[in-house]
Amino acid sequence: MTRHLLRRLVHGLLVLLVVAFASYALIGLMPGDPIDLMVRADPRLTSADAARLKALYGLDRPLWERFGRWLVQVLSGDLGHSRLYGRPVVEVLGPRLLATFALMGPSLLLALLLALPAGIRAALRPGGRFDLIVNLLAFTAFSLPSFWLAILLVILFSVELGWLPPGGLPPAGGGLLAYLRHLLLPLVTLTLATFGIFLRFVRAAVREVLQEPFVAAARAKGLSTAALVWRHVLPVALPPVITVVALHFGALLSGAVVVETVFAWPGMGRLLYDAILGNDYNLALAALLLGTALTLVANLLADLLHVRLDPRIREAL
Amino acid sequence: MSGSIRASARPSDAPSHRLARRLWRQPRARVGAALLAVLALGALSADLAEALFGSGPQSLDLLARLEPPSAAHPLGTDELGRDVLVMLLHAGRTSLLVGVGGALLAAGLGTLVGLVAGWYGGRLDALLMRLTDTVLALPLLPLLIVLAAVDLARLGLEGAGPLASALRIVMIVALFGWPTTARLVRTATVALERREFVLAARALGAGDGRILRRHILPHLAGPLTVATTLAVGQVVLAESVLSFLGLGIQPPLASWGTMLTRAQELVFEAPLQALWPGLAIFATVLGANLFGDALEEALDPRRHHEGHPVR
Repeated sequence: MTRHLLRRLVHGLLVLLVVAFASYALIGLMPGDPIDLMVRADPRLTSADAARLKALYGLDRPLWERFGRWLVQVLSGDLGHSRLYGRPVVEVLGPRLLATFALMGPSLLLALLLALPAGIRAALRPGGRFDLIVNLLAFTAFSLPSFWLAILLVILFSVELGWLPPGGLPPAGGGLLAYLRHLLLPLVTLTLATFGIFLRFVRAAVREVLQEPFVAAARAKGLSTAALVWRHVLPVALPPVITVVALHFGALLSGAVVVETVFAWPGMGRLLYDAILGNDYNLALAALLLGTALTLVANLLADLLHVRLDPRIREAL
Repeated sequence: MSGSIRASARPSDAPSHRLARRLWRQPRARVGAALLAVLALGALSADLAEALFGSGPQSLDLLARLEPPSAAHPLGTDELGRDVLVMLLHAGRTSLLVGVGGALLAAGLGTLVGLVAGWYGGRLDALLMRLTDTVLALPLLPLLIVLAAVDLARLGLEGAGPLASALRIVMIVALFGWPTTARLVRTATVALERREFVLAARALGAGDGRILRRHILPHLAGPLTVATTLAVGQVVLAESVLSFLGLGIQPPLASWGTMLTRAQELVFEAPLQALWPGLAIFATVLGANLFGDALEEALDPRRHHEGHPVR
């Protein structure tokens, strides 16, 4: 068990390192490096000045050396300063991360709470009317482009009906209700696609278990459907569902980027988008790495949970 | 003699015909195929529509801005007075081409990785599958955004014409689209390499390359078609998101995503502008998903025997 955990941990760190290097290299390739921008802004700067400035900041060194120095700096807890916000990156990231969690947490929970009962019920009567409706709904949900849905919701609820704000955050001190009113549309948008995917997965997992001989045996003993599902089906069907939910964390983060951008929700996704478009290297890198690290942690947790819930895997380790 | 035997054999018993019938029985397949056919036909007739309505992507008419639907402009006009229907069809051409191109490229990459992993097995397999799972779990869109923001001139690649922007989106999207196919192909390859006909081919002295090409790949045609169909939807979606964020297709080329970017700025003035491009993306993704799902089921008849309902 410990060995398994250790191996996953090392793997996770390795992935993080690779992503860090790739991001570092790529971000250096984005248009407009700071020195170039300075040169363009000030005609008195000669190319000799530019070369001197590049040497001063170590920008003339080879890529791997710059990456190494940056890595040491990050590991010592210094993520650098944000160019856009003029503050340390850590200070900028903190509140943004909270805002994203305020969006993603409820969304994940809501999607699961809706998908579990609907998926189980659909699986119990495959081909039934409920199954057909639910399937159609799932297909629609995960085929809908989330940014289009976001625009439609804004048009309907903000422009036409005027019930909900079109985006952003309430002014400070607006109270919980104002916060929730601003959260509602982004939350619905983010939840829908996730719900569709979870729904199909719950249905498939439950269907598979229902075909096992032990289910037939339990039913032959005269067990009610509710008892069958709770005692015999869910304990087997849930672990893979949990894995999928955790593996979906990365996709959810991607969805958050879109939803936050459309609704001007001040979370990590919006921050990353602004940082990349605004040539804020330190901020973009930190946001990217944080997103990747969170995804890897979510996967690791799912792995552990899966091991705990599934005795077969526990034995094998 | 042999002619009469051939004549008496029912042609519909050919496996491909049975597959087609199983496929066509499903409403999902019919709806999906219809959606995709309409969209493809629309994209093909973009030039025709341009001639018909006398309005193309370049013909501005500032006196006819944001007009409501009429006989002259069935879907109205946009903020520059261009016919929305014509714009939609032109954008669809870009979106669908990028979708199909990206899906094919992703499927090709995935097939290569899956074949190598499944066929050679061992450590290489473990490594490649780890890689596949990792890419699947990564937060994709942020990485796509970074890749899309890279300045090609800094890589020494000049000539960033409009076509280059489309090509680059195809490549970026394929870079993240291959894992699903790779997994699928690997599973199928592992199952196939123990089959008798593969053993026989090997016993007869066929090399790896020949066995893979002649005996494994043909059996993968079904699952690969499914994966590619589903990928078309995903690629169209990814392209539209990137374009919507301003990092995908660049003007003067337009895609459904770029149309939505402009429409978002007009939600107060002309909310209908946002309707059509989004609907087109939705229809494409839905069509690909429905058809792909139905095809998957038709290819695997075991899924039909889904047991009895639980009461």
